[in-house]
Amino acid sequence: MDFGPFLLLAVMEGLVSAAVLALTASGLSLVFGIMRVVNVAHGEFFMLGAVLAWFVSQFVPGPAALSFALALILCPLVVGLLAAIADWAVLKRLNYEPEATIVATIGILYILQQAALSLFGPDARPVPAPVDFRVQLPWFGYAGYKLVVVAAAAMILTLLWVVLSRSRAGLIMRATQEDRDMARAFGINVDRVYAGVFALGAALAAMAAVLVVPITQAHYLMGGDPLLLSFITVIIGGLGSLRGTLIAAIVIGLTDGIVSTFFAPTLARIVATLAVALILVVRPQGLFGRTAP
Amino acid sequence: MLTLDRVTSGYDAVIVLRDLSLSVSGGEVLCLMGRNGAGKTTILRTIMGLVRPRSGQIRLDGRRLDTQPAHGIARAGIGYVPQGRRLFGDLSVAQNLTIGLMARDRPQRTRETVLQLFPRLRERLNQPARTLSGGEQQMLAIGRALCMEPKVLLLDEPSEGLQPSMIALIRDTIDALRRTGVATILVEQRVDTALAVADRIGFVAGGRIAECHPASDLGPDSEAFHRHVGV
Ligand SMILES: Nc1ncnc2c1ncn2[C@@H]1O[C@H](COP(=O)(O)OP(=O)(O)OP(=O)(O)O)[C@@H](O)[C@H]1O
Ligand SMILES: [Mg+2]
Repeated sequence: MDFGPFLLLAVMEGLVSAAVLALTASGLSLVFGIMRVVNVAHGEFFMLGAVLAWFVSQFVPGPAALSFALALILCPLVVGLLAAIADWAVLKRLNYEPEATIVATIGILYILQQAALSLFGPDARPVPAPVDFRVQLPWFGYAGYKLVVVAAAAMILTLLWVVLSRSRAGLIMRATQEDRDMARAFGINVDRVYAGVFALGAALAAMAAVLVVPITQAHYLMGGDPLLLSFITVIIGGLGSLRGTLIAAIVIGLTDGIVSTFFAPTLARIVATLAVALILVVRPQGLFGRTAP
Repeated sequence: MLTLDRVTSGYDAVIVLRDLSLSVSGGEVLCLMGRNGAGKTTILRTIMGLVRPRSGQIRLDGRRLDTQPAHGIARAGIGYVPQGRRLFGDLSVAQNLTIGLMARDRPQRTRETVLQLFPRLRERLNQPARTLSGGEQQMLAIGRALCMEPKVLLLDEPSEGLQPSMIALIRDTIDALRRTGVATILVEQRVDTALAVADRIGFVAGGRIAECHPASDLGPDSEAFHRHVGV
C-alpha cells in the first residue's frame, strides 16, 4: 500500500481508539472533577461492561443487532448500579478522603477482577458485531462497524455535553464540584449527586467497552490498558476539565492509531507516556487545567 | 422561631462551642459579636449542619434540625450568607439564583422579588459570578439565600470589605426582611451597624453567648463592647 492510503488507514484506526478513549476517560474525568476521587477501579467497570455484553450476547436470543442494542443499554445500567453501591458502601463511609479512596478503589479493582475471573473464566471471548458490512475504499476495505463505534461515541459524548452544560442535573453537578458545602447549604443532596456521578462515570466506561468489545473480545484482565490510557488522557487534558479530556483523547487516540499502525502498539504506549512526562514538566496543571488558586 | 439548646460543637480535635443556647424569633434581628476566633462562624455552620453538633438540640418552630442532613436543613427554611460569600464563581448570576430556587415551589415569583430588591443583578444575569464587583457579589450572596424563601436568614459579616453605600444597602435590606417576618442572625464586627439594625446583641465568648442585651439598652460606649469586641 502507498503511504497516503496507509496513513488514512492509520487515522481511521486512531479515530476508533480516540472514540473509545474519549468515552472512558470522560467518565474518569467526571468522577475526579466532581468528587475529587481518583478511581483506580475505573478500568474494571470498563471490563465489566465488556464481560456483561458477552453474557447478553450468549443468553439473549435473536439477531445480533438486537441483543447488542440491549447490551448497550443494559450493561451501562448494571455497571452504574454496581458503582452506586460501591459509592454508598465504601467511598461515602470514607468521607471521600482523597488518599483513602485511592486505596479503597484499588480494593474494588481486585474484587471486581476476581469476581469476573470466577464467573466468566480466564478465556477471552468474542462478541459478535451488531452490523457486518465492509466499506470498500479504492485502496482497502474497512470494517463498517468501526465507523459505527466512532459515530455512537460521538453521539453519546454530545449528549453528555448537553446534559452537563444545559440541564438542571448538570447545574447541580457543577455547583457541587465548585463547593460541596455550599451546595449542601442550598439544599442539594450531595450524597445523591456523588452516587449519581460515580455511577455515570462507570456507565460511560461500560458503554465504551460494549462498543469496542466486538473488535477486541472480552477478557477479565482487559481493564488495565483503558485505565492507564484514561489516566494519561485526564492528566494531559488537565484534571477535572472535560473539554481538555476530550481533546486529549482525540490527540492520544490518533497518535496511538498512527504509531501502532506504522510501528508497534508498545511504541505507541511509550510515546504517550513520554508525552505525559513532557507536558507535566512544562504545564503541571495539564493543557486545559487551571492552576490551583 | 429558631432555638439552639445547649449545643456543643467543633472540629476534629477542638471543641469551639460549649453548651451554647440562643433563640431568635420571626421578625427579629439577633446580632452576634465577638473576637476573631470566638466561634461566630462555627455557630452558623452548626445551624446549617455543615458542622455536626456533638450534643444539644437545634429546632426550627419545634422541629428538630440537628438530626437532618445539611440539605434538609437548608430546605426546612434556612438561608445562609457565608463569610467571604462563597458564590459558585464559575456559574452565572442567574445560575447561582437557580441553585437557590430549585428547592422551592414558586421559583418565578421569588426570583422576581429578589431581582427587584437588587436590580443590579438583573443587568448581570449571564455574567460569571466571579467577575462581579465585591458589592455585587454580596448582593448575589444575599439574593441566592433569599431564593430559598428562608424563615431564618444567617448572615456572616455581610459588610466585610464593602464601601459605606453598600453597607447602607445591606442594612436597609435587613430592615425590609425583618418587616416580612424573617428571623435574622447577623454576625457583625461594626458596633454602629449592630446598634442600627439589631433588636438584640449577643456576645460570643468562651464557646457560648456570654451576654445578650436588647440593642436599645446599649450605646456605642457600652462596657460590653469593650469586654467582648475590644473597641
Ligand atoms: N475547619 C476547621 N478546623 C479546625 N478548626 C477550625 C476550623 N474552622 C474554624 N476553626 C477554629 O474554630 C475557632 C472558631 O472559628 P470561627 O471561624 O467560628 O470564628 P469566628 O468567630 O467566626 O472568627 P472571625 O471573626 O475571624 O470570623 C477558631 O479557633 C478556629 O481556628
Ligand atoms: Mg467568622
